[in-house]
Amino acid sequence: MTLLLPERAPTATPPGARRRRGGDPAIRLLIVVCVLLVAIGAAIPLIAVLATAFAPDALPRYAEFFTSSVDLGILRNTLVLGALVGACGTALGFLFAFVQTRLDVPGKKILHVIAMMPIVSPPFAVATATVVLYGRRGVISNGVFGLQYDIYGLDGLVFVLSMSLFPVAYLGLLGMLRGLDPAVEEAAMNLGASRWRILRTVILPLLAPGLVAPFLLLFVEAIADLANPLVLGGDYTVLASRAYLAVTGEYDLTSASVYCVILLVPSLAMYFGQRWWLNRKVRTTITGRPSGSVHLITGWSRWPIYGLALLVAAVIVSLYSTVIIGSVTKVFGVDNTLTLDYLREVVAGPGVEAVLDTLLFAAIATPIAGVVGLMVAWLVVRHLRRTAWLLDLGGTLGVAVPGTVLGIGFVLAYRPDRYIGDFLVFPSLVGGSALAAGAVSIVLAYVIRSLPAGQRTAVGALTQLHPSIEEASTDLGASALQTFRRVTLPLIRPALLTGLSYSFARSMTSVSTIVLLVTPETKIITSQVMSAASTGRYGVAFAYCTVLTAIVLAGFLVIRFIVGAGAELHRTATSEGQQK
Amino acid sequence: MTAAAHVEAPITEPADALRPESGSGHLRLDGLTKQFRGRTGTVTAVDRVDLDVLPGEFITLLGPSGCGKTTTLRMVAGFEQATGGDILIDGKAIGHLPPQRRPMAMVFQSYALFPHMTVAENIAYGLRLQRGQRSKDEIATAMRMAVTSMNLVGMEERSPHELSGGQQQRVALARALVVQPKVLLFDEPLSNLDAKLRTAMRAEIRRIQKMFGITSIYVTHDQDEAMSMSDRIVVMNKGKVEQVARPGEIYTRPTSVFVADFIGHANFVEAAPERIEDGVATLTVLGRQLTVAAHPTVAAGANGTFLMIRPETVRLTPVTSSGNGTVLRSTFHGPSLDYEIETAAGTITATEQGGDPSEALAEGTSVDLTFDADRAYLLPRD
Repeated sequence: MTLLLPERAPTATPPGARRRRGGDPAIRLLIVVCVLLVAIGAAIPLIAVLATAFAPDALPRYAEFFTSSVDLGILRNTLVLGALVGACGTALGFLFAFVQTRLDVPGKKILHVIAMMPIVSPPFAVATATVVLYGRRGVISNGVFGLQYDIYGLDGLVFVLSMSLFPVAYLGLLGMLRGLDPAVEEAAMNLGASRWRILRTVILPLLAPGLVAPFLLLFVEAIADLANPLVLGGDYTVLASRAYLAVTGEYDLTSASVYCVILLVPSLAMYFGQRWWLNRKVRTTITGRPSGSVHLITGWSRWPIYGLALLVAAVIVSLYSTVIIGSVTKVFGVDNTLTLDYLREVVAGPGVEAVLDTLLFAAIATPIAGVVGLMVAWLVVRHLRRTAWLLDLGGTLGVAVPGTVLGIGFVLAYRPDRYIGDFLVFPSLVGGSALAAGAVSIVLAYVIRSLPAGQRTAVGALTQLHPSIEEASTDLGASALQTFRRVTLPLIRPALLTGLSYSFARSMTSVSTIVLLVTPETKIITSQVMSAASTGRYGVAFAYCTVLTAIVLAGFLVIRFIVGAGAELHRTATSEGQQK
Repeated sequence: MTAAAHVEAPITEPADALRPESGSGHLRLDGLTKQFRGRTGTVTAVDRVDLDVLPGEFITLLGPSGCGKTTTLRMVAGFEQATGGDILIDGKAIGHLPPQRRPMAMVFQSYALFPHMTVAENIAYGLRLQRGQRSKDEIATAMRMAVTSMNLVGMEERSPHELSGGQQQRVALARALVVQPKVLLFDEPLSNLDAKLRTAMRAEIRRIQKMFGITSIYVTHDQDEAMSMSDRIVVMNKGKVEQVARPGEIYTRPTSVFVADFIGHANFVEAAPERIEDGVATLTVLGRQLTVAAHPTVAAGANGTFLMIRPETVRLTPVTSSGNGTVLRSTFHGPSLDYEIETAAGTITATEQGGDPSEALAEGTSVDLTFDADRAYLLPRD
């Protein structure tokens, strides 16, 4: 099924016609709300970082940075880490996607679920479990193989980050492999090519452009990551952890801003490079409607590939099992006595405050992020023309800008009270004397960090929805908001569901921005996990992770219940048209 | 899916409740203009279009892609804002109203049915928006009436994607009709259907339109569709109206070479009129002196005027010698046999209805070419 709806050439859509609908007061209000939120949550903190980093007293720091072998080493470390995680994560993603779409093997559904597990994983969970299982005294590395492997450093980081981040690559490549026209493979087969030859000469060259985007995305995520380098980095310092240390250890916001700017350059370049690449790819690889059927590989050659995927799956399962088992045993691997002390500490002891606070903040932030993401997408796709890219860009900052940078931006922009004369115009949002003990800035950070997920999915769903469906509603007498509520929203409900779920998961597991915003009165699970993990209290860390995962999964169910399961609508909504 | 499955019993139910008030639905376009400001300058997509559509009339906007017909329709619907001129319904200007407040309903090219609603919900959508003015019973009654009128009984609870193309088309029509619009707008509604179904739906749309007596504007690039459905055709080119006339007049008395060429097939022979009297020109074509009807703007002795000769008015007689043409090629189309004839006045196409391909004139045959001067028309240079 394909859309037979003809595309209206974008040049034929005049700016003037949209201006009137943009003039609808409800929509104007919506634009103001979205712009304000993005400005306060993302643009101003980013500007604050840039302003500090380019202030006169910061400029000598650049000369220092580029002559200091330590600082240059940190920069090199960061880029090496990004490149390795990008490559390994993309390879893992391709492996799983290939098994899923091209091999005739059993258990593919379970393999899919396992590959998706890291998406809900709390930070530190994989890192901590890796130390316990594969570290110097690891249950597997030492207990089974008798090795004394030092997992701290680059190797550990690449392992943990690849394991945690590869689902993103997996999902993207899965879609691409499914979208690949099987007729092309049939043609190669018809000409006498072997399966290996087809993979080498047809599938990989066709997918090559598609491998670039996940690589860049993983690169960005890897160099932005703060949690894992703190727990697992050892001597291996990266820009994100260095900037964090500059703020929390040295109270040197100027240096921190300089590190941020140097981190921002590759992050933004890679992130927007990735988006540019994806947009141009659309024109070159998606050609018409796929025909023919996929021929699954049935020969012996499928087994080694399958075996590799099973091995990786086993490692993932071992890591998550360790989190759960670790939360109910005294010291997993050393003293395997069952105990509920850790869980009790988290849900009925001192930890309960953090659990409730996190849940409350995430529960406030999720609907805001989901709805604002949807609204931004709707405005960008349907109602704005020349300014669309600006709002789209603003909404995406939460993911393009590394969390540490955003956090430092919050500290710089919102720690002091802002006065005009003697009049308090903007109260402090961050630090000891902050408004609502910092809760406002935490919720704001959650919203900004998780908004892009909803925005992306909604933009995708909306661009697939032909404008004439909404025009038909307007034509029959519905106002812009009535149309949105009665037609657009129900049709993109699956995107809203996905967006809200992602937002909730991202809020609950967010750490790099949050660790800079927590105050003694506002405790957040992820920062509790961090302090537990870095002080070696693995049992407590695991207990927090288990509880966090349980809350995220329960949250998914609640969101699904509220939004309504609408996944089956998705197909009919987007592929409406004629089946000839 | 066969086309026959969609061609269902004619619509018999009279549906008075769905009829617009009699005598309303007079649509007037007054100098309607649309300019797009692009990077390279201003493009005029629709240029001062004047049009008077009478109540109950079925008008087709016809033209090649990019001629401004769809933009005109979308301005009438309110999806595009006119940059000049106005739109009036029953004497009231509506150009400033947003689309949802205009008394029109549109049938979209893709039908644009709401895929998350059933057939019944789709049809009732517009009615439910007027809930303040309508009771639930009224909505249900109107919806049921539309379902019966459109031969959709038994499909009320289906999803649009469970319907065939023709059925989707009827749902789109029903959804537009139930809100009792003063004007019904069609944006190439048949272009997604296969050829046979398209022909059947033409008749059905026209029948329904006549039954409800509703003013309609129909956009198409298919001249055959325009000819067979319309009361009047508006031929557009480059944003301007070339001609507004009944189908027969458009075909036999086009006002420009563009119209003559766009509607059906035509041969154009350059010929200077020797004399013009009461719209009748005397001229010499292919060595024969003839009198033909001439466009009012053609003057005697004018150069660069063209004589339009429709292929079906051309007669060929094979001769052994001294013919005025030679057969270049013959093409068989089923119902007709086409010839391309080389003459002193250029290549002329001739159509022989019911010609037998096995008896077609061979390439190189010398022929005597004549044509029906009563059906020829002298046109000015564009």
